[in-house]
Amino acid sequence: MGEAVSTSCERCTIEIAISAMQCPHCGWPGRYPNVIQASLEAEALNKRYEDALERAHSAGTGSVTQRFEKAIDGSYAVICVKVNEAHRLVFGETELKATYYATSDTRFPRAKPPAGADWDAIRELVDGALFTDPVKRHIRFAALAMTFEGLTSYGPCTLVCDTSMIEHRSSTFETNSCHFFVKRGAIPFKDASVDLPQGFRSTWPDRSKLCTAKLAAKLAPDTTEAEFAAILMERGAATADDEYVEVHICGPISLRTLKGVAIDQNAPTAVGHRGILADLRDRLRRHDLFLKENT
Amino acid sequence: MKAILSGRAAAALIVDGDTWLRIDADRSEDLWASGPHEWSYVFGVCQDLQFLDVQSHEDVRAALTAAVDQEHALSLALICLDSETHDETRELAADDLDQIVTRTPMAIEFLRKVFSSKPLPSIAFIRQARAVSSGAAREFFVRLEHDQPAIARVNDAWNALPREIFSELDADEIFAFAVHSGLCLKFTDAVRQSHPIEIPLDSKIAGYQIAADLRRIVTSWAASIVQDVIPALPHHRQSASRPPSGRDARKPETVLAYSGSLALSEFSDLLVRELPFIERITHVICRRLGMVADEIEEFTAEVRLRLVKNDYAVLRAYQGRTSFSTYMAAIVRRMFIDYRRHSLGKWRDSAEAQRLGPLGIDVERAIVRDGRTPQETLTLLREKHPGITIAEIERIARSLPVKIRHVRVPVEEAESIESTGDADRVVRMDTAARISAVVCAFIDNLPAEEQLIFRLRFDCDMTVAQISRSLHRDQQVLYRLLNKHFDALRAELTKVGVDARAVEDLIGSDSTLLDFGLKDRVARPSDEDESAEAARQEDTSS
Repeated sequence: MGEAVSTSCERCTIEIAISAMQCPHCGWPGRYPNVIQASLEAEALNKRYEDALERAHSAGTGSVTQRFEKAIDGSYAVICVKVNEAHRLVFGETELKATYYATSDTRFPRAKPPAGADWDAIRELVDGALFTDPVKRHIRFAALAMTFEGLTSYGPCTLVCDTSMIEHRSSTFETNSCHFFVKRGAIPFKDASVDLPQGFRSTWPDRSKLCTAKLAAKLAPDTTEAEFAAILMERGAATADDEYVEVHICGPISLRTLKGVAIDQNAPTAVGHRGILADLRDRLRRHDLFLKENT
Repeated sequence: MKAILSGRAAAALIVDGDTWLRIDADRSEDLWASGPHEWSYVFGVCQDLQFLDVQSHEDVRAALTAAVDQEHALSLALICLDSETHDETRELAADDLDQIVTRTPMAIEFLRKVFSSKPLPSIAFIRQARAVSSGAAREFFVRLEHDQPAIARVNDAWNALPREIFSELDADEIFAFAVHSGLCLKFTDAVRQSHPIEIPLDSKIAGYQIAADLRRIVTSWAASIVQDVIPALPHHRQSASRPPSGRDARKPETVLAYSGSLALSEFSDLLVRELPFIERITHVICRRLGMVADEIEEFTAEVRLRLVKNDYAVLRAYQGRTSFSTYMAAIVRRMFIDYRRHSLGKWRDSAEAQRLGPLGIDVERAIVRDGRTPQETLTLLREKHPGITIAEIERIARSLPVKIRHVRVPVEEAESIESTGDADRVVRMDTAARISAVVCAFIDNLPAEEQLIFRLRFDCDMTVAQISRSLHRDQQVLYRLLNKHFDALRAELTKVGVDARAVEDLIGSDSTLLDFGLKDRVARPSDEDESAEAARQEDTSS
């Protein structure tokens, strides 16, 4: 993938694989490969960012670009899910949840496409999307947003992550990473011949640089702050046309990871949603998480 | 056309050639253009993915609706059971649950599978859930409450499985298989209904690479449940109303059902599983038969070895004609006897003990063979011989012939033990003297010619054929004559408390102690000639 494959442990300084989430030599924990990879591309990102700023100044959008960049500093990672999935997350850390949801979740064997000529092509795509890099198993995909509304075509409940719970383990990517790679002919990802450009990802603190590099050209001198959100996240007619900055959160997400949930009230409801939504609201209130009903 | 769907994500991706489409359960009539780039957003970290070959979009919709209803049913059931749920929300959830399970009956089966995995925690509001629900939902909660003891037992049996049995397999995944394949539920139903456990695994696990390991683990689990709970007689042979009793445990069909289908390599697992039980039997039998602790350990090791020998021949030979407990007890008892014979020699009751009858035999076995004290013997035999006293036991013991009792000692202590050779020799001389006396008296009463035959046979070591030629007597007649005298002699020896074993021991090891006076008997004409000739020669020389 054109990525660096090794780095050194910050504690013992011995060379280790970037994908290692713990130093295999000294056991130093808390390594987030996605963040490390992004930090290795900082120089390339800075180059893109400075180029974008220069173009913005030339185009007379330097001021609005600065405001946009500042606004991005306050952006969130949001994940859109179905009602049932949101309820699972907020059901709490009760023994009931631990017992039965965990049992229900565990599958044997882990879900894999079955063998067969037709399935093999799909498997190749799916493996490329999910399994090639072992780190991907630990990555939760989110979108960067300035409001409490995410890509609701994937579900009416927008989970808004508490930044303090994810900033150390999150990185951002230019767009839907799978789409990005597909466009460059990098499916399956293991195709090493595809040379992916550098500077299209950032650490969480540098997300404003990434967004500026990507979106400064879309700003006009009269662009208002109210319009920034729509520039950051464009919802297309089809999900393939959605344009947004992707967030990679390494590690688990629980109720405590969330700042709150926004529910799209225009979304259709199914049998069973009444009870689940009622309980979802009860529990959000009980845990002092915000509940926003988007109309 | 292929489809990947998740009830938890409430969505499906359809792959038809190069075309990818998405169906959301909330708007299942709509088809959305899609692609692999959506995968992470559609399914997230959901693991309940189903991979289907389908004919039409309708097939996908039907499968998706069922999967989503199952997931919703689980969430609603948990809402109903959770103690933190508001009352009005619980009622709403119970109503939704009833609607779902009415629409999708298989959701009830899914719930039963998941809830059979573990007993409800004490915080669960099962009564409240039952109270607010109606219809199929209420039936589910009533049954769930009723099933709790059985679920707990099945779960206990799982938790009791030794960790080694999983080797490097993930126990949680194996357990998940048991839950999702309905195995937990089957076991629970079997326990609740006191039915025998069946393991219809083959079709379900054959496709997995670890099928053999899976079968082994599940078999052990089933056996563990049976051991503790299940009466395993076939249903048609047992009274349905009869509750399981201790005697019902380990019925043959149960073990046979498992062992009969096992590959040879899996008998080792069967043995490992049954070993604690077998060792328990072994210890009981050994203690009952007077074996000391150290020897019990040694014998137990011997039992283990013999169970493994010849490809677990002992286990394979079990045909279920009796309970496994009885079978193993008989096997261990047989092994015990063999072990004793091998280490101490075959025990034979003395003629004196036989003459004294059952009490004499039992006293001799207890005191002489097993080395018990008279007091211990009294305790042991009191039930079998009511009224027996310690004085009587001591009297019988004094009348019994002296026998050498073998005592096992560790080889490292053997050097420090004083030789008992002198004492042994005294005993052996005493026995030899008694034998010699009986034989001499017997021979003395024989006609002269027959005494001659005895002398030729035993003093001159001539064969019957040689005697026949020498005396011009028919060989068969001589055989019959000798056998007749042997029988008579054996009877005489028995009368004075000497058994054939004692004679064999002496002849085989120290025949010099025996003296039948053959040389002292009236000289044969040839002997007389020889002695006269010798005397003559002596006179001449002097």
